[in-house]
Amino acid sequence: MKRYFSNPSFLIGSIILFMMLALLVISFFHTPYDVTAMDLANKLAKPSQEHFLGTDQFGRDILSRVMKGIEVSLLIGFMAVSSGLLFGLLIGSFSGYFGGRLDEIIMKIIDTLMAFPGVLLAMMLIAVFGNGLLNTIIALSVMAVPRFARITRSGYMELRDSDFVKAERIRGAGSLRIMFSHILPNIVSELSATASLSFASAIMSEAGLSYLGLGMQPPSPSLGIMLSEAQDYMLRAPWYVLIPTITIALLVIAFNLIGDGLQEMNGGVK
Amino acid sequence: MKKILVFLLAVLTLTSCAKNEDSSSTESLGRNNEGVSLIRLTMPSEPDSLDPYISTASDTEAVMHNVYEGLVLFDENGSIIPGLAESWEISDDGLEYTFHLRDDVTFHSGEHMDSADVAYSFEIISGLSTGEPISSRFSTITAIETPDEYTVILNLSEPNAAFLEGTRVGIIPEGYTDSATAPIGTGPYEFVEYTPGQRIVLEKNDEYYDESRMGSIDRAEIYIMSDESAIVTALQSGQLDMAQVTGSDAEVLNRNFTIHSNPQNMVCLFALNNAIEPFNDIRVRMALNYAINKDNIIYGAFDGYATRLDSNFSPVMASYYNSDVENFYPYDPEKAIELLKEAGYTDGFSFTITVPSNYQQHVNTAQIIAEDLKAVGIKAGIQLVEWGTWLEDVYSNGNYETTIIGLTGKLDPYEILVRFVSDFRRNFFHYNNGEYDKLIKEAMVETDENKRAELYKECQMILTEDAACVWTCDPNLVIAMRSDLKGYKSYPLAFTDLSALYYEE
Repeated sequence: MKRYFSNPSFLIGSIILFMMLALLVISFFHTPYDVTAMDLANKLAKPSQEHFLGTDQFGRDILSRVMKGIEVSLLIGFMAVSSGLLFGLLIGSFSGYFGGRLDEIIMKIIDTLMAFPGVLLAMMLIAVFGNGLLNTIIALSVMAVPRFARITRSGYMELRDSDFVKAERIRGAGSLRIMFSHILPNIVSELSATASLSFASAIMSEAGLSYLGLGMQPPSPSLGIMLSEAQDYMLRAPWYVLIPTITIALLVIAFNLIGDGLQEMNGGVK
Repeated sequence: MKKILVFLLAVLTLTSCAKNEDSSSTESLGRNNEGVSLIRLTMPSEPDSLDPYISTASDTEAVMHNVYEGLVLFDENGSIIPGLAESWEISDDGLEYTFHLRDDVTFHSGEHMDSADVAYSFEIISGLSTGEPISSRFSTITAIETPDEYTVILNLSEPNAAFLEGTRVGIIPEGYTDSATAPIGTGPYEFVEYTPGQRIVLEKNDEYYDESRMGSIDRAEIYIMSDESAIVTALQSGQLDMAQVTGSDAEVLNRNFTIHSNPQNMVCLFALNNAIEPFNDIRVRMALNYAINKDNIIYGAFDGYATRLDSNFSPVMASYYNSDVENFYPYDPEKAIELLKEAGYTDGFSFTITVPSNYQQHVNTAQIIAEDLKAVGIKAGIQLVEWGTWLEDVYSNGNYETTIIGLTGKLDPYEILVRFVSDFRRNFFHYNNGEYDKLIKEAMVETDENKRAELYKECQMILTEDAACVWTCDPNLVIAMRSDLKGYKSYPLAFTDLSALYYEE
């Protein structure tokens, strides 16, 4: 563990993430105000003692909304990355381990998916199936699958003919056993770095989709929604725009730094 | 950090240089290098066509109405005034319109205007020469006669009290076919150039026939700009003299600019699908009207720059507006709860508000409404949809529960109120009231202007009594102008009247 924290990228990323997680945990039990409660007499109030980060165009407390917004971002990011990882891992491992015709077909499909810019793909899915929390998560996980599938596949292709796998095979181990208890541990570090980077891009994409009105729906406090609402008040209440922007940036930077750190420690090229 | 700042500065300098190329003068009296007085303003979207018979966009009309004029014009109250025709008579059966033209009008090309030009124009407008009228309202024209040089008679197949208002469509010279690229009209400003994606340039028509409407500023440059923050920046740096801004930006600009805020004859409403449960119950619709605080919407979503509405009609159309509807349903959540109980919804109900995502003000309105309804036990979820989806699902197919939208203004009350007639194609409210239908039909053929106004006032009252929708407000058109620019006139239709503007020396 000490090895990890001696890496500056990983350390800084973890500190930021830890702070965000602390806010997240607090938001489960307590937010200073109700996130949808309006107080129009107090609209666009400057940061003050009552409203630590000011209020928005309806007089809603920005701090409370950001706290819940982080919750939304992390929840969606986590669900999207974990289901993306699960499916990517399954697809990539079978494809990489067995190779052949199956591999060709799967990889053609993955290539097709990758040919679309991720957000465009998510937008297409949402346009067809409608928006909302669940569909946003599904769209973002579909977006994440190809990346995991490719990395898993290349790991499996590299290792399937290595000596320790051959030895296991001679000892009579089954394919599934070789795949998941012998090869998988060797690519976990690579996958975790990718997961962290995917987490960052999932958060960005969620904010982007919500900004466009395709992800979460108002009045739920997504950082993307806050940003799209705040931009009309850029001149009058600059802090209102800055707060969700900085929060999104911090979240993304945190996961990117952690991902970079993991890659460096794995002897990656980075 | 320093590097970033330097980079940002460089970008800012570059972009401002790029803009300055076109409009290098920012001198105090709005003159350019040649000493010509100049006004620089904005239009929010690319013109759809410069040809008056093809264009349908109101942004385009707002500009091109300075170039083209019709037989009739309209004033600031939306009343019809003489234009190219100095007078007109309508036969008793409402089928024959006789226009007496002015004899002192010349086109921008220098040609003299007479009845042949009007006949040529109306042959295109009515579709008699092309086969297809430019709009269905002109399809009833059956013949155009020109008994002498300055008289034109239009014959209709059926009476239509709204027809006269339609004759404000622009007149072009006989035989002219290049309106789309080189518009020629008779207005106080003539067309100079159009650079797609950038700007339209107009110049004052020194030969204009009416002294009182003669322009004062020599040259107008209309920039196509829609980005709100870019417009504010351009105003503040002196690259624009006048622009339409949001209420929120007006709150910032009002220190250095003159702000004009006027109702624009738009009807914003929280539309209910009257055909489905629970909105088919009048008690529920009334409860919604009592439960929603319209002042909060005006303040919260429009920054106070809006005029409250209680029926499907803006007070800006003064001669037809029924003021009795005002505050018909005051904000009263207690009463709303009572009505809901009466209707059998003791525990409230839940439904979806479908909102087009490109209109932030409607999205904001939806959030305020949802919060107000929460207080009376109704759960309203918000569903943002793209504009195209909204047009198809809500506007065309009427397949929705509730929505929030602004209905654009028309100069004739018929066209505003016809939206609620049961067999109107775009009656997406599914509102159905036989008495209302009857009154609208009566008003359509009523030629007595006072009786007609009374009928329309009655119609507004019926809509309010039936609580067909929750009308919220008419968002004001907010214009920011440099403080030495005077004479601004607002109209109940999209029209930027350049001829009225002048610089205070």
